[in-house]
Amino acid sequence: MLNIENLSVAYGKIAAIKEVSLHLDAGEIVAIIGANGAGKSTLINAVSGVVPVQSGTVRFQDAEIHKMPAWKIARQGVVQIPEGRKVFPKMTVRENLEMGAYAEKNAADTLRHAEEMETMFPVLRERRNQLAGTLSGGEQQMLAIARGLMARPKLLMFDEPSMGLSPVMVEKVFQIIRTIHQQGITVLLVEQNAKKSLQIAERAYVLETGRITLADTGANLLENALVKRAYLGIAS
Amino acid sequence: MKLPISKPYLMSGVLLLLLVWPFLWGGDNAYALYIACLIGIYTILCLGLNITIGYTGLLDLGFMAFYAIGAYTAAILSIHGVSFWLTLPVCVLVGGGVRYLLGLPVLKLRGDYLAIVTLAFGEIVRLVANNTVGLTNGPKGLPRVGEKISEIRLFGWSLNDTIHFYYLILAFVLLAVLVSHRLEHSRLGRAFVAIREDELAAELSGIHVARVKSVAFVISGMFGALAGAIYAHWIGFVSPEMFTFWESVFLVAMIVVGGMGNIGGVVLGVILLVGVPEILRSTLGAKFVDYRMLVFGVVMVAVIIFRPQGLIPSKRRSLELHTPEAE
Ligand SMILES: Nc1ncnc2c1ncn2[C@@H]1O[C@H](COP(=O)(O)OP(=O)(O)OP(=O)(O)O)[C@@H](O)[C@H]1O
Ligand SMILES: [Mg+2]
Repeated sequence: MLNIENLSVAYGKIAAIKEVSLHLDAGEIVAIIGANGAGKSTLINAVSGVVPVQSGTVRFQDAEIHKMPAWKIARQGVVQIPEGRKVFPKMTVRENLEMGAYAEKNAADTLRHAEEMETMFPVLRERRNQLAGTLSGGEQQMLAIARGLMARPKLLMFDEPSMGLSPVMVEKVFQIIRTIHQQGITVLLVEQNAKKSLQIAERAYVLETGRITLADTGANLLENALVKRAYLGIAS
Repeated sequence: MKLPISKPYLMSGVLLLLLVWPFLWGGDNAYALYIACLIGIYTILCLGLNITIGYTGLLDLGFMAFYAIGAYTAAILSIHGVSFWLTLPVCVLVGGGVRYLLGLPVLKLRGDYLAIVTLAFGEIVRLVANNTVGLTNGPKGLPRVGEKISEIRLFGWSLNDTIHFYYLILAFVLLAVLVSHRLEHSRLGRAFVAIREDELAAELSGIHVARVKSVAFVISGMFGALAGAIYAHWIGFVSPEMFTFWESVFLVAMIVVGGMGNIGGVVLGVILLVGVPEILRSTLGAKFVDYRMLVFGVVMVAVIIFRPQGLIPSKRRSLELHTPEAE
């Protein structure tokens, strides 16, 4: 479904992603784990088209999306839930949901879909007319996820969805990601929380300073000595 | 703010007042009509600027350029005998077209840079008007001696009295308010606001940010040119000194004082900063002109200290200024 080949991204002269190749099959849930500055956000942003690709290709269902502008990539069904949530703070919760479905011109359809989202995330129904900037961090993350779903994604990419959340909330977010995956949406999950990510991912990649250093099933990586030491904090 | 009466009643009341306004002054008080017309023209202008600054968050410090383009285009066409009703759409198209071309390089810039470049463009337009004597008659302005901006004809009538212009301008003000209101509540209007709030998130939501910005820019330019074209016909004269940098700054000030992104706020800002100084000038005499900038400065400082969100803020803007950004 998603095929990344020899992708390199640089900010000026500083290389952030170096010849990365990876792939996702339809219906899979795949994680990318890595430390601060490893290039996780850069990778996802390159797929989304908000950061220019230096070399290599990104193909999504046979379309070469690395040649497309970001808004068009989003309309192909490749949707990102950005790091730090980035809700529209001065719009209401409902308006944020509607913005997610911007490409959908049928208002009745959007309304129905927004109501479905409120059923999936009841807190968004309670807060429907509240300005998004006044929501708590956890609520904003729910809203960001729901807004992403409003775009009817085929591939949903999460950039550190558990960042800055309480343990209970982190649990909830991972539960939601699992649910979304069970609904048939392909998921690419970028996380520093290696343990939780590897537990729910079918496969995972380890990204270190812009390169992929390990690729295996989530279960195997959980048992990998290097991963244990570097990302799970377990001395072996 | 809670109003004691419901909005439709308030609107109808305001409309009624506007319709009978000239007769409250006996129908021939030229000064009352003059001020009302001036407020009307500035309202159209500021509603246009509000689309870029207020809704989309693009700071434009050279908006007078489009007022000038509309005014000069109208003057030149009209001197050559072109009817107002043909001149008007041409001016709007020229204004929109120039605005589009300006947007191509300029909209790639952000924030402060955009402000500086639009400011420079405003000055360029003024200098061109000042120096292309063959077309614009330079600093002496249009029309030249012996020429005349032709009268507006409507259903066989000639509009030549201020009261005629009052109703003409009123009609266009209502149109501008209606267009702004429709825009604000449209899908496009939401996209404007989304871009202002978070450009990256807007793009990730599938909004073609570059194009939507360009549309906002062009529509606002059209408003500006429309106001200029009507102004040229009303006053019957245009010259470069009407379109200085300070005038552009005044426009921004009106929007800021009244309340960015809010139609009622913009109108109030225009009334305060155009109407009140004019009235003071007539009551206090010419000496007041010397103090006008001082009064203006005091009002600005007072508003910024006591009501930074403007007198009638849009709900979004007031939040922006009163709660810390949620990160
Ligand atoms: N806009 C930018 N300009 C210059 N360098 C950048 C830019 N964005 C990221 N970088 C650099 O690229 C590298 C990768 O950054 P990136 O944000 O992709 O890391 P990350 O893995 O997402 O980190 P984190 O876990 O902290 O979010 C870092 O060294 C960073 O400093
Ligand atoms: Mg990151």
